[in-house]
Amino acid sequence: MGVTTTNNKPFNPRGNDQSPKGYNRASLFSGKALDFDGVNDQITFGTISDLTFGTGDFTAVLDWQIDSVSTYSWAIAKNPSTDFGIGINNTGGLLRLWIGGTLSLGTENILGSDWKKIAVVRESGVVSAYINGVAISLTETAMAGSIDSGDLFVGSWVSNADFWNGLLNNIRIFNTALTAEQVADLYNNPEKVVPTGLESNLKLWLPMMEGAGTTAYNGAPDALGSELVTNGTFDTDSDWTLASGSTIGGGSLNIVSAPYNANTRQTISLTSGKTYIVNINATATGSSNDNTFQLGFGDSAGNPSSATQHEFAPGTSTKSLFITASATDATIVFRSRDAGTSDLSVHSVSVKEITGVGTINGATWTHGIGAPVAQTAVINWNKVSDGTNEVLIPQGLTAGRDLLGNLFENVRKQGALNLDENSRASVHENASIDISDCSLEAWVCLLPSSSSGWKTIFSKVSQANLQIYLDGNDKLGHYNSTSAGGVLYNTAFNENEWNHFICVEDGSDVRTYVNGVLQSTKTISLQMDSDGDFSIGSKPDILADEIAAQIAQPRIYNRALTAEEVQRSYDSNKNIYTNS
Amino acid sequence: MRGNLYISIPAGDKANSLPASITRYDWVENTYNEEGEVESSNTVHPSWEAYGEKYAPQYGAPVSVTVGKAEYIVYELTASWKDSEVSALLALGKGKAEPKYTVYTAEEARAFIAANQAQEI
Repeated sequence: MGVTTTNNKPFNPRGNDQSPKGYNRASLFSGKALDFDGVNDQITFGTISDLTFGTGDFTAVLDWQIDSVSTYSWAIAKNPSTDFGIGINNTGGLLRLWIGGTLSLGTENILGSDWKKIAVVRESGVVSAYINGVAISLTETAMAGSIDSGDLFVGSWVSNADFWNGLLNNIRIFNTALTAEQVADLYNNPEKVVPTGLESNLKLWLPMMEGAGTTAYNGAPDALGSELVTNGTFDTDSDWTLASGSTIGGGSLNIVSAPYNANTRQTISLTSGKTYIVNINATATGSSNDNTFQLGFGDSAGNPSSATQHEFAPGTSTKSLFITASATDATIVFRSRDAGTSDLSVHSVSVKEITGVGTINGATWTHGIGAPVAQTAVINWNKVSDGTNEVLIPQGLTAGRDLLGNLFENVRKQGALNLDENSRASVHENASIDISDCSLEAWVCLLPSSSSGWKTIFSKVSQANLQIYLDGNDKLGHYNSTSAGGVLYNTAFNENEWNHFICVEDGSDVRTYVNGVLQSTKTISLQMDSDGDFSIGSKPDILADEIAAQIAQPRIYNRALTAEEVQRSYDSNKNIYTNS
Repeated sequence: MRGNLYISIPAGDKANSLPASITRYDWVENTYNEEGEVESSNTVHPSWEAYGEKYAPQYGAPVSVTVGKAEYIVYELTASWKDSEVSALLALGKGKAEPKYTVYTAEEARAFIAANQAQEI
């Protein structure tokens, strides 16, 4: 018998099985958020032209968690005279809206430390508001004033006042009025970014789940500008000013034995203070990481500004960098740093402006946030460098490609949990998972990690009761405090490769199958009959031994599967995960 | 990043430097020759105003409040008790009435700002 909770994402232990016998829901503790201190933390944006709605329709949706309110606090605000703000009153705990020059308050207390999804909709000059998908009453609904150009702030009012004390994330603004059903749909399906068919209406999406760095990126479709580099694939010998010894041919820019500080460059249109994403694929040779080549924005002569320099290590690498242009920047430049001994072959380079980039002032990253925060982890994110940190970036929604131009639709189709070492999914204790003879199954794609410890796939009650993990050598193993099975499969799971496993317990032994093949038989118990939460991605009792992996189709069977059934299950999904 | 204290500085004193004993916020400014090599280096011991601008991404924005007719700016920072940095900050306010050079906890700073900022919309 399954257990239903009100705000958790469904978890189907039978996955794509066409005859599910029941399912549990798991609380997903995978979200990230920014923590604002209520004193001086905020995110500042410039003017985002897409948010100039005039008197037209719009919808703003965001998730918040409140620690405390001083008089009142604004979660989001824009242009004080003719724009909008969404916040809360301390007195009465009322939703506080400022739209087009009119103030409106909610009529019920919505204070409390739990996460809430707030939605504000203006349609034909009439405003409605929703808390967790349910409409609330407002003191004023006629708010037809114009929303004009102005800077955007998150976590404060526009004049460094009324700061937010608590967590914020997943801010979305549409240039259309969502229906009540669409608002409820976003609440009930927190992994959903956009209601079906409204992709082009999304004008701002701040997931605020980068997890590091001091920048909040806009993942809306229009966030990415047009290509600024001409002939970035080096198909023709044009548009580039070549350093001595440099040539273009065969689809590459080849800089051979270049003298010290030779600048190969192209003049491109850059605006000081704006942020650009630079994607590059190149092969470098040189004596050390610091003495080969630099990539950066430079002045008209190609002299790169120190703030934009990024070193090339020897070898072939694909870089994605966020670079903010300075006042003198006018070129994209490759500069050799090792006179006469370094070669660089650039296969492609791309520069595009990103709009709606926010500067985080003081707010700190927090991890492992639970439902109902958006479970965008089901969609693959990309980890790139912002120059200092490895950060996750939101994907654009255009044509199924992310900000780096990578396809992500296949990942969406797989519907995997994307666990980042700060995440877990937790199935609450219930009788349906308290079973003796059983089978535990999942598809696992291990992601790069610096951890050399154990990485949990499944655990129940505690590590002492059951832990299925990848060990320090990335080999599948089993642990409990009385009869640990140790390594179950003596071959490492490779990073970025999908593997399927099923552990089958028949009352006396546990048989482990990997990719359909029996790998070990151990006289141990999975102890699934012990009462307690079942966790995916970390220990259930504490956030520890977390894994960096995608985990798909986690299933718990209340009997021992046969070898034939194991093979059938593997065969039914291998095309999805391995394309073989 | 979250600092461990907040301090209110009279706005007229924002050009004053941080206490000399607090050097963790100093930075080095280099000049380069045409070869891209460092030509000279200069260690900057910042004023409160410069500190606020440079460290806003880490600690948050400086916040202005008005008490009576006097304007103050609240800065957030990390200061060590062990290395007497907190003592150096406390010394700035010795003999002065709150809020001149007053050191606050986060909760106290929230209350001070809320009580002394003009009501917004």
